[in-house]
Amino acid sequence: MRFQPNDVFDLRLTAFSILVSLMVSACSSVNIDAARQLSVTGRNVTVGAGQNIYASDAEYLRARDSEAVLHGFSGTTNAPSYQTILNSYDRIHREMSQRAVVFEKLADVYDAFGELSGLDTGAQTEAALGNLAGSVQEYAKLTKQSAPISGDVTAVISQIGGIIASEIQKAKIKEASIQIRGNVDSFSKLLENPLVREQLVGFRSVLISDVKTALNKLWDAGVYDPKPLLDDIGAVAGLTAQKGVAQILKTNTDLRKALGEVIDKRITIKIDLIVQSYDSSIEALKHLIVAHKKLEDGAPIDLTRLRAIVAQLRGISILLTKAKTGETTAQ
Amino acid sequence: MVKKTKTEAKMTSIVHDGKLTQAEALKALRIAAQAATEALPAALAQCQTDDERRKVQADRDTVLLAYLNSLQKTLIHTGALFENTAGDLETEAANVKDTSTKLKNVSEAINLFADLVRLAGSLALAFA
Repeated sequence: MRFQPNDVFDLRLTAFSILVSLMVSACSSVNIDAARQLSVTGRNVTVGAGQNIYASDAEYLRARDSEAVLHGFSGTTNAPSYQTILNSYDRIHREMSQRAVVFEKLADVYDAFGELSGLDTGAQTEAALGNLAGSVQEYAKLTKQSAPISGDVTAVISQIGGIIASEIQKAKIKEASIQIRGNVDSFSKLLENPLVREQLVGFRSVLISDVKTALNKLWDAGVYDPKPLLDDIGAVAGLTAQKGVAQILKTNTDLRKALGEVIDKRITIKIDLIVQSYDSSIEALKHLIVAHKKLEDGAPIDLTRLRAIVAQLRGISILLTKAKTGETTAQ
Repeated sequence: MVKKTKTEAKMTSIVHDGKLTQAEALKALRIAAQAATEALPAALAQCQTDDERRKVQADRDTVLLAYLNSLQKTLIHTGALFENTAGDLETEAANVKDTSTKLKNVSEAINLFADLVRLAGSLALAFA
């Protein structure tokens, strides 16, 4: 039996595919699906943290209004200090808003990471190589030549090509994850800088103090209808306040003071939420760093805690914008 | 002479003990500003005249402005850190996008080649 050239080629190909399989089993530590999930969670963390670290436009505008109320009450709207305060608020808010772009850039990084993880290079390359092999076979038929390699062999080549493409993708994902982890680590350290923390948390706290003081002043002046507040307090027992409750408050000083205290505490709790959300945002970034390391090491990733923090950040963000019950998001 | 040195040293340790960081100083100013603001309604309620009200408001504004001016100065120090971080992240996003584009191009290139071979086959048939 003579040894045909195709037999040698088939033997070499078999040996090669065994070798590639061995190499592949040694390299396949990165889980592409886990990378895809991490990219989504990473983006959600970034968006959540971004909303909770910087003063929103609404917070800043409310503080400006509050300064107007306070200076209006004291008859000092013509005082130079009033305008200087407003100008300072404008400049500081502008400066802080420019820093928020860091979160936008981090979200872009996770979008790009998601794109990289979302590619199905293995299947696409295998299909493309199969497509190429098929077109070469067709060409051979059309030009009445013998096909350079058999159909079985092309199937193996396609599979090997797909595996190699998938491994290349995993290597690129690992590379990207290492870089992203470094960036997130640097950013979380920046946010942990005591001066940066005091700048961001402190400024928001000052804005809320302005709002709280103005609200207390307006409440004492009797301009607010207490019914929604009383309805909210009574909701847990199915109670609503009477229609003419504002009249009761006009003559009942103790009741007015009591509700004033409720308002004061509800606003004060927002300052606690600002601190809580800042710390939760940093905690989330640290969890992201751990998740990236696990991805790179091929260890299983559990994104449950990260997703819980994202939900918590969303909850805090809602509480900071609404004046609902005084429930905290502490868990 | 010894007495004067002792007094100077005591004043130095009160004013500059080297332990107050910028963050702590800013926080102290911020707490003072918040306290002054929140005490404003009660203080204004004690005032009998417009002049008294203006004085109380001016005192409060002074404390708040001391904090805001200090905050603005510290923002200059930390601004570059954020700019650098944003720059690094922008570069990283571009690198990762570039990588995924190149990976996509591989299978697209193979498919393109397959299409070219089919085209060649059609043309060869035309000349058969």
